Amino acid sequence: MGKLGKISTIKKEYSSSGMQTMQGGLAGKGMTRIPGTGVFKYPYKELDGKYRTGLDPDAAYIKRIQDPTERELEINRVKELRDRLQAALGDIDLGPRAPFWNYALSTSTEDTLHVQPYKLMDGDNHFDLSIPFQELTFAWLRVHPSIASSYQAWERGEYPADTQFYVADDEIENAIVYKKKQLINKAISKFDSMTPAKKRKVARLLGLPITENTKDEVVYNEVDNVLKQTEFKSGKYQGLSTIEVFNRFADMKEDLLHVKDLVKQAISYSIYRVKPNGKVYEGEYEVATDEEEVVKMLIDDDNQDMLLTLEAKLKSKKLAEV
Amino acid sequence: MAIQTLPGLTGFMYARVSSMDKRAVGKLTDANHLESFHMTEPADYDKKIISLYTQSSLYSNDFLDMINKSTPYYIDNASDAWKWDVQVPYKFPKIIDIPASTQALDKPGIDGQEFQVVLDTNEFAKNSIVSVGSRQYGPRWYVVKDPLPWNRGFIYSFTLVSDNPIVDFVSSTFLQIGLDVELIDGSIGEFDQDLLGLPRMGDKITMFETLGSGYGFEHLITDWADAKMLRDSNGKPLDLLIYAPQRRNQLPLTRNDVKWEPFIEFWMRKAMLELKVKRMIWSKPGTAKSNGSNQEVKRLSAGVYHRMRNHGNLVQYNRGEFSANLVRSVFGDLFYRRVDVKDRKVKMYTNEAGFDVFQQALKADALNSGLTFVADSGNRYLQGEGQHITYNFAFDAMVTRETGRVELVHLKELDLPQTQLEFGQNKKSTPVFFVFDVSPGSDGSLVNNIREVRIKERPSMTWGYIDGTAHHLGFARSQGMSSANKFPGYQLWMKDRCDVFIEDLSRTVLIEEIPQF
Repeated sequence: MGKLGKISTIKKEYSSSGMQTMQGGLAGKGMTRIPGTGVFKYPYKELDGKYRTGLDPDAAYIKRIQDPTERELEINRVKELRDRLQAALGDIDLGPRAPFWNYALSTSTEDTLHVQPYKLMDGDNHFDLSIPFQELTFAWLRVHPSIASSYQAWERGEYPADTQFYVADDEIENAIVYKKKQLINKAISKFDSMTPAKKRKVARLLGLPITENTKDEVVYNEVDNVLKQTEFKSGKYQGLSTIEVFNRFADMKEDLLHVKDLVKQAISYSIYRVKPNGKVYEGEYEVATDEEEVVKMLIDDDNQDMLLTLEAKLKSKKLAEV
Repeated sequence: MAIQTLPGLTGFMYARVSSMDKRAVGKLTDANHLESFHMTEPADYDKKIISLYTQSSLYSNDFLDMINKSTPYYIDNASDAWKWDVQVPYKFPKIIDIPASTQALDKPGIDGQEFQVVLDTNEFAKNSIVSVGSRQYGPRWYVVKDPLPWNRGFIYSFTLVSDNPIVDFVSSTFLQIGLDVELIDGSIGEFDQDLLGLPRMGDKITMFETLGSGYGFEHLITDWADAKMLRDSNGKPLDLLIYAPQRRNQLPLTRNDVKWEPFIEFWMRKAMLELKVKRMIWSKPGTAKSNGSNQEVKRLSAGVYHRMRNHGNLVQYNRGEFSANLVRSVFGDLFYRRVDVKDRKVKMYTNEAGFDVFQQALKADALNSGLTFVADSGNRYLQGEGQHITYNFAFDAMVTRETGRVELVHLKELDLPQTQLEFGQNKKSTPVFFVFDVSPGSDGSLVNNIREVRIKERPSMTWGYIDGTAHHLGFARSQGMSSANKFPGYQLWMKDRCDVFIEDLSRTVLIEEIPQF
């Protein structure tokens, strides 16, 4: 059996407050629209005049993919697909501005030099990907903005709630999940191999509420929980990939990590204060214009006396708290 | 002042003038409020009011005219809901799974080898011969034994029908989930006792819908306000301009009331009709709760647009890419194997922008078709001569074999106001095409496919007056009147509850641009 592409309707649960509605009635029978009706789709044209072909590695939608892993996977997949389809379909230009994608130029329903519309029906719409024209159709449909890239993407709220179709492409979804899981597992194993002191430092730099009194098990669990999230939900690194931020600290030189952690602790123990404009103060004295500058100062060999003083101050603060 | 017809103004000019200071009349008129409409002003310019060319046009009520031609549906039981049956169109049985045992075969079906495939129905009995994927190009499979239930479907054992079974096998192209399977033949031998079975019966589903909540207006007028006579110093009625829809190309409606109440009543009736039209076309389905809390849940039913968009045939094209071929392919698909070529016709209700793109698409199609348009062919394309030639041709209908006659009707309700969100400046509303009924028995309008729905005991709107210490018919009737309360005035209210319903959404098509925001 050849490879299949599938676009399915999103079956939604309806809470119509006990009222009998057509939408609820259809949903109860596993349908989303009146039997026999469908939605005609054409390749979507971006505001810059490029079509979303699903075959363009420079497409705006690919650039907008935040997750670097996902983005890289998509670029490689798209390049390979475009080369293959262009080879299969002869000299047809499948570039994003090619006239092929303008349906208005089509002269008849038999015109193979221009894209043809596709009528998506209720339920599953299958595409035999061993047939070039079906694969081509699936390529532009799967990146159409009115079709969710996966059911999970629709559930996550990446598409409007009234989206009617999603791409049921387990292979792509699995590849992404696989790659992400690999990265998470690698990060966890890297965390496992750290000394307890380094674990604490990294945890604090990730913005976790870790003190000297926090137990090692708690540190481990906290970091493990963070790594299993796709991105930071709040705080300084909000929206960034947890794995990427973790790796930045995990691969950092020991002395730099120590200084960064020291500055972070100095701020949390109120030795330093950061004003809303980002400037770092010690009492009324301005130490630096931002946190990064403090780190740069302290890492400098000429300022080792400052580093030692700060370490001593932090130690006495901690003792005072006990 | 005489009633004026002013260019660009589709509202009617009533026989009074207000300061047009954007104050809503709202739900209450008291004496101060009424007087504030007529503050002393400098002398009038002789043209009185100049209607600006940029004045936003309102809309006409041609949709209401159309729906009034349909017989309303009256709910006549104790329920707010109604139900109807929809015939499910026939679908060929489909391959829904290929078992692992079949996938593992290198050359399935070679040399009479049996192979299994799962279909979604059990209608092919032993000895049937089916085509797969296509009557024309697809292979023929022979059903070896009656199908058995298999998860959501039925597992069949097939052999390949072939003239050369030693080398012939089933191509992977035809072993695909989603392919249609159709009975083509049967093969009954001398000793066979198993004949074919009849196919499955037609299917229908019962659908439900609930009547939406009502709508209405109210207005309170104090006795003191009602006592004012709205006349100028010469005793002539004062003019008042209001925004109200009026049918284009018809004379303005006129009112000559001097009293406030009949005018408010007249205006309220118009407002009721306008709201009815708006909700019947544009209302979005959903619910709302009184006072926004956990009180009564109110159903907001869908207007025609959302019903067609969500559940009917929907075509969304990119801006600038409407073409004659789009119309051909969409309606060709709908008519194919359903309607005889001679009976095909399409009536598309559209707005002015729709006319533009349709005519442009047809002109492009005609000019690219290879036809030569000779300028000097009567006065069909060009009129006049020399430096005074008028270029004059456009198409507002076309006939193709796939679609039959496709013609446009201007539904002015669809000439939407410009909005900042969608259009930017100085552009028409985006083109939209409503096809209400493509069935051959219809005239293409919404008559009897789209109907008004009401409770049988409430065939039309209701209205009334709550008279306080002033009667709504004036001073004379306030003497010895029966008053509801001691409010120094009276209240006027109007309300209605009705809905719009599309019987068969599969006959409808909505064609629209993909929004650019």
